[in-house]
Amino acid sequence: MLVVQGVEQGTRFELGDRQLAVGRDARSDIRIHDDEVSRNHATLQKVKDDFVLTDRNSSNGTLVNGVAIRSHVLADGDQIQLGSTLLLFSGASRERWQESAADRVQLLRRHDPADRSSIVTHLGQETAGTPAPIATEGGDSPNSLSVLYRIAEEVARPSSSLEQSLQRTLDLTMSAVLADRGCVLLTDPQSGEISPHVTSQRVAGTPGVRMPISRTIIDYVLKTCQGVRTSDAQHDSRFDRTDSIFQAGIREAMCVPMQGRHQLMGVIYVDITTPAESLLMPREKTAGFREDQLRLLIAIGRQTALAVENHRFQHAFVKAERMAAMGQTIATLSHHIKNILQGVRGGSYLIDMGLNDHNEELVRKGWHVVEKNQGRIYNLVMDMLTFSKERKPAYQQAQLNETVHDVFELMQARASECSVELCFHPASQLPLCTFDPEGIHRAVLNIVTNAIDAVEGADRATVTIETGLHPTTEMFWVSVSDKVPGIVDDQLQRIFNVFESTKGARGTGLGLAVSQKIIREHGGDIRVESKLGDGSRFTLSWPRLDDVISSGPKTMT
Amino acid sequence: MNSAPHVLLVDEISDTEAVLKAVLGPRGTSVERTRGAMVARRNEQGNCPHVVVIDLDDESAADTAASFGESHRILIGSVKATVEDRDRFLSKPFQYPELLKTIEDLLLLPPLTESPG
Repeated sequence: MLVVQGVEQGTRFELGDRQLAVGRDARSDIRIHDDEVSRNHATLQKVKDDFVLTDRNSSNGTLVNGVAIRSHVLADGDQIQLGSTLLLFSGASRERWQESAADRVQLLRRHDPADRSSIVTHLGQETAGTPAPIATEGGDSPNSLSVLYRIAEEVARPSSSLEQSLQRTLDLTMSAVLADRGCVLLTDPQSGEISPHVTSQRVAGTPGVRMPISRTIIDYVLKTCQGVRTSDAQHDSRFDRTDSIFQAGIREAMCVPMQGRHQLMGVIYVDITTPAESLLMPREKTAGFREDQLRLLIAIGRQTALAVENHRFQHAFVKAERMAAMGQTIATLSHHIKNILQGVRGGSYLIDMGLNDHNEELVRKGWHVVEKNQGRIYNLVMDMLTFSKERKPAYQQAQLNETVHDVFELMQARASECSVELCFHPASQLPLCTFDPEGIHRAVLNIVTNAIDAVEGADRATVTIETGLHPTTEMFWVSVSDKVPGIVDDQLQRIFNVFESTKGARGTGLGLAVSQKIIREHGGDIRVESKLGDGSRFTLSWPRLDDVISSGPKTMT
Repeated sequence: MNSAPHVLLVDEISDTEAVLKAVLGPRGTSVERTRGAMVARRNEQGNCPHVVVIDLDDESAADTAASFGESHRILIGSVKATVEDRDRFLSKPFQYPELLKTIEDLLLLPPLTESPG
């Protein structure tokens, strides 16, 4: 399940076999940081092969595809609205779609003796949308326009996967042209091979019987860019009624090209079988395809092709962006690691020199440099782990002042080395609270590290850490403030972006993003107040969890 | 320019400073580190170093280098940069013996009298 709108946009939740709690509560399996979402909003449970979403009397309700639900079996492509957060349910991967389509289709070899299809009508794309010579039921222009309008809406729907769009388009097409079975075959942009992607069946067929698709007909359509109507009744009206075709009925098919702006994207193939007993009825009463239906299908083919083309462009764009982001990630990390390596080399050099000269002081200085860089690589790895994996906070009852005091103690040496005065003003009477001590430790550590780096070298450089519990909002907070030099406005907009560093060689651009991730996991956020020349104040705050109110105060000693 | 050998390091990280101080300090060379906005403030106080070692990976490195026209310059960078004839370049990660040798060679040279930019 993918969050497509909301604070967690881009977050993906894997659904397993066990029941999952969905809500704002810190213990929710699928946690949504949205004030309009109830703490225990809904549940998701796997029942056989389906996932059932059930609302748990939430204040603002659970909507699936815009409709309020009590309990709902999720289908591929369903959009779930919780508060102002929108999630997309996706049940099958692209490979599964293709495997499933391939199982339902029999792609006949070229010139296969079993392939008796012959073309009875062919129309160029320029005829698409033009009025049919005879407007008949199901093929009149208003209906065609309505179908085209619905398909246009479908292909333009955001956040649907290509396969979902194609499936809905094909289902609509099947109803519009009254076909029994249908298939969309797409050309692979790399290999040029055409293969079935989605299938649809309007009329139940014989179990195990696949939809035969003539490769020869597809080749013709791809080559001429014309839509065709075919029949397996050879020479149509002149067929031998004693032939086995008569026993099985006549199968008619339509195949149209999906012509994009620049290239052919594939074909749409639909078929219909006229039962043997209907063959004796007048032509207009039988179930065969008409020319106006072929015209409509050609228009649908064009529209679908544009959608496929747009989707491929979008996919290529996202891929390029991903590659660029990956490149930036690697460049930033390798730069930081190179600096650590440089430090280790420096320390090792001093140790080596000290050992050769029997100079213990030099060895000690070298070891200090090595140790410091060992700490830097540890912090880098921990930040990477915290940022990369879908971690859940390890909640436990703890004293916030103690966790922050640990950071204060740990950073004293660094502050002293940088000639920075580090102060800690813990709130008195701070009660025990439930939080992830390791996570909060890391979040505060990163902010304090940044503050020390920011003020190093300034006159009377001071960094102050404070803690507290807001009396009315019941929010725990930790603030880290420095006096100089402040953050310029345009940097303030970007400081939480991953790999955006304002610290030059010292920064990875991970620290603040990691702190923000941890605080958001606690249901809170980081607020920054900064004025150039006056310094900055970072306040990390998160809501007090319900179950600790009765724990009583435990003060810091 | 002071007569006592003086090396200035313009670097965000203090590791190289620690190595240079440990090795050059006992040999009578003073080592000082500065960075970022503090470079301009330091230059206002006079004291032109004999040798300045500049980490080119810092954002304002180009401006920093230009402000030390009278010093011998050693530029250190991750990417090979085009440097003036008078400058020495070391690519990261560099070997400390090479940096120390370069500094000691430059300390033996007479100071530059004018700033070629």
